Amino acid sequence: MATFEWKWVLPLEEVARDELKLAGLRITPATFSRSRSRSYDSIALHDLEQGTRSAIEGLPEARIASPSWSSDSRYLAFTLERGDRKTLWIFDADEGRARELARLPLNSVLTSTPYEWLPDASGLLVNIAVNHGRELPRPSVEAIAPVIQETDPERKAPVRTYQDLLETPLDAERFTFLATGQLARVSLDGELSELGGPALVADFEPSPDTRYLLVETIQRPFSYSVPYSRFPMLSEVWGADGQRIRTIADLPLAEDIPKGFDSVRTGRRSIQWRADAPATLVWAEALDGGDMSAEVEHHDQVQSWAVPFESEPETLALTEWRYAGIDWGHDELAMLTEWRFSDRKLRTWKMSPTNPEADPVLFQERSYNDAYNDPGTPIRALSKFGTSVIHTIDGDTILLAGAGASPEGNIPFLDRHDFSSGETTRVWHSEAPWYERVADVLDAQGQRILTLREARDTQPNFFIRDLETDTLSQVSEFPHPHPQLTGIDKELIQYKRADGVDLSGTLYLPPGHTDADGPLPLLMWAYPLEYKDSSVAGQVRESPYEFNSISFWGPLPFLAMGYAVFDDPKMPIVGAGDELPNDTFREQLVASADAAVEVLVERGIADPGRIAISGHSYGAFMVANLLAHSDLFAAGIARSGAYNRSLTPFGFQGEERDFWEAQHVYAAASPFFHAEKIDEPMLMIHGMEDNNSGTYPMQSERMFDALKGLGAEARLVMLPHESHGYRARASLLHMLWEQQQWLDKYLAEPGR
Amino acid sequence: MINRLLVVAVLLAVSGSIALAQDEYRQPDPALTALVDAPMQRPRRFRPTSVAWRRSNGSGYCRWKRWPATS
Repeated sequence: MATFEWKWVLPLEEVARDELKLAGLRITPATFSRSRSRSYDSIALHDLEQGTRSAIEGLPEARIASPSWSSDSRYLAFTLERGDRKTLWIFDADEGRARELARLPLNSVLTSTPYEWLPDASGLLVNIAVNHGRELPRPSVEAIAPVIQETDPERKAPVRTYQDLLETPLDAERFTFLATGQLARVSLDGELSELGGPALVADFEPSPDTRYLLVETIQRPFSYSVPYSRFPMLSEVWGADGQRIRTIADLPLAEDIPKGFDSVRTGRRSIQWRADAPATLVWAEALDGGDMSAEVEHHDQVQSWAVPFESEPETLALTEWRYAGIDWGHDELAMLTEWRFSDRKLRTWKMSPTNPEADPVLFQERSYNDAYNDPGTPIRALSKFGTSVIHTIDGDTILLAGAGASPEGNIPFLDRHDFSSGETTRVWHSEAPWYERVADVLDAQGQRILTLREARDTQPNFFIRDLETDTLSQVSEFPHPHPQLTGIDKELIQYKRADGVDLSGTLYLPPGHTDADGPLPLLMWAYPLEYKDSSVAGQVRESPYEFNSISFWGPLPFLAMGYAVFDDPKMPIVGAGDELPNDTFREQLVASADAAVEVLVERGIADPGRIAISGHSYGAFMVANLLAHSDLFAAGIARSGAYNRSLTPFGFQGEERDFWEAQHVYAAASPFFHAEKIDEPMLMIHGMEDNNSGTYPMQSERMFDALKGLGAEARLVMLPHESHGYRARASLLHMLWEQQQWLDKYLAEPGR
Repeated sequence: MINRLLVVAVLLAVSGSIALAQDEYRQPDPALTALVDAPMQRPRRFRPTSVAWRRSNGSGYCRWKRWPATS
């Protein structure tokens, strides 16, 4: 097993690197990479059989990314980004040595993981940056021209507020330059053979038998309205030598996907290889014009087609809801999931891929917000091809690992589910005072499991739990991340909203605090969620035994400053039946906050005048609303929020209706429209390069201007180079400083 | 003329007073700084992409598309 030290906090100069914003992507042009992707600092190896640990030594200083094991477990592949390129490396576990497999620069602009293992571990496929070393297209006076767009009255194109889109012909030229790649096969000796020619390769996937390759390439015309994923897309099957064998789909530009979260583009989509068969393609195709609001018997058909495509495609399933995906097991077992946004439901069927005529067996049907009835996720294993499939015992039994949410908190479990009898038996569950989750199963019968085990003051580490011998052995030795902050008192508090909806939140008290010390200034941190069913809205989704991990990102650091924290008090926005959640957004929000404040004050934990409300993104939207429409809080901290919903006119969060259909809802929920009622101080922080859908930096700037013009008390902090999640150490420290000053100014007792 | 000078002076005074105070990065309490500098090896944030498993080279091919995005 390999574990990676994650590199979230970066030096400011790294966050401030040159980047281009094109077609919905942020790109570091120097290395043909995405500029804001995840990377790691170091790799540690844990031998699960020997119980030994080691680190991969001798790597140059670089950003490590995209790690993946070969199916024979011998090699770990990863990319290293440094200087002017990103290259492919492999670590050979038998030799204990890492080496650069090929010096050629990889292209991870569209293919964020720019390589794929061949399932038989004989080599890898890579996407090479063919334009590396050439000069990026530059602006020229001759090329200056007006930028013109036109509507097509025949085609409605309701799009959400995408950012970083192409804006000029030069952008399109640069996008083409940076996104063009050349596929190639690389042997384990580093020998390279090119496949096909240069193209805008968006995705590539070898067939399980490694004889074919599914390649998706982006075609023109591009669009100024949507990101690259909606550009025209050509899907083809190539032979192992790169020869084109068949076009599977040639999709036009998809600017006109109908409104609705479960609406899709038309044509063959979600094309994939069946993981448990040598070379069979499977895809879905909308039967409703992509419009989930259309009244049709079936919304999607799912088809399969085996290479060499001698017969016609076979229909695997017709789905009554929107197809979500298939998880493959073997010839007689696959699990197909469909979903529907209107009532937040999902449904999973067990079906036979080789006998699609047979009746499917319903495995689960529930609201996807219903955590208490979540049966868990199937444990996976490798197929005979080396691909990842559902692990089965004796053909018809699967293992399921789940969070085990319950009114008492999460009790993670491992279950066996026998499809022939329909029975589920619990193999194991976590026991207090530990919080232990299944990370993977290490044997065929599910008796030897790898877990992540933690307790309130014990940081999570990996363990091997042997159920037969009832033994537990520790695998990893991650240190306590903040030994200076232990002994924090934590309690899950459950209470009710005035309309009867169950609510809960986690109360943290600073180390050493006792009831005799009296009420404390308190920081509340929340994020509203929408539901269609009040019975699931207030469900408990955490455990009282989870490790008290104190991240600088949330509210818990302020425990060290003597504040009490009420973390994640539920703020459900429920719209049951014909009602839609946001019809009464404000009323429900205030009622939830009111119930939280009431329980804290009643119990003597907090004073009514010394509670602050804070949140990030939709949580910031909540903060501004609560300051405008209640007098429950002394101050607010709103980070990276959106405050004027008329600027996101084709929907926001879980709202599907557009502004013109539901102006009253947009206006009622937008705190910008009610800024004159904000009579408590509000601190706003926002990344100057925020590209999250809807939360343009302008949202905070305009809100601040409104508050300033109206004479309210507010402070606006714009963080240079930061997106929706702040990464630079300097920004994070400054964010904490601002929050600390704000809380001390408005919450602390005089003289504190 | 005097009036005009006065107006300019007042404007300067006002703009001086509304310029952002302390336009610079600040450091919070050392206890908070220590949290930013703490190791990020936190498996609590475990996701298939954060740990690569010897037994499996992928998290499957089930592609969930177009789930509601946060905004």
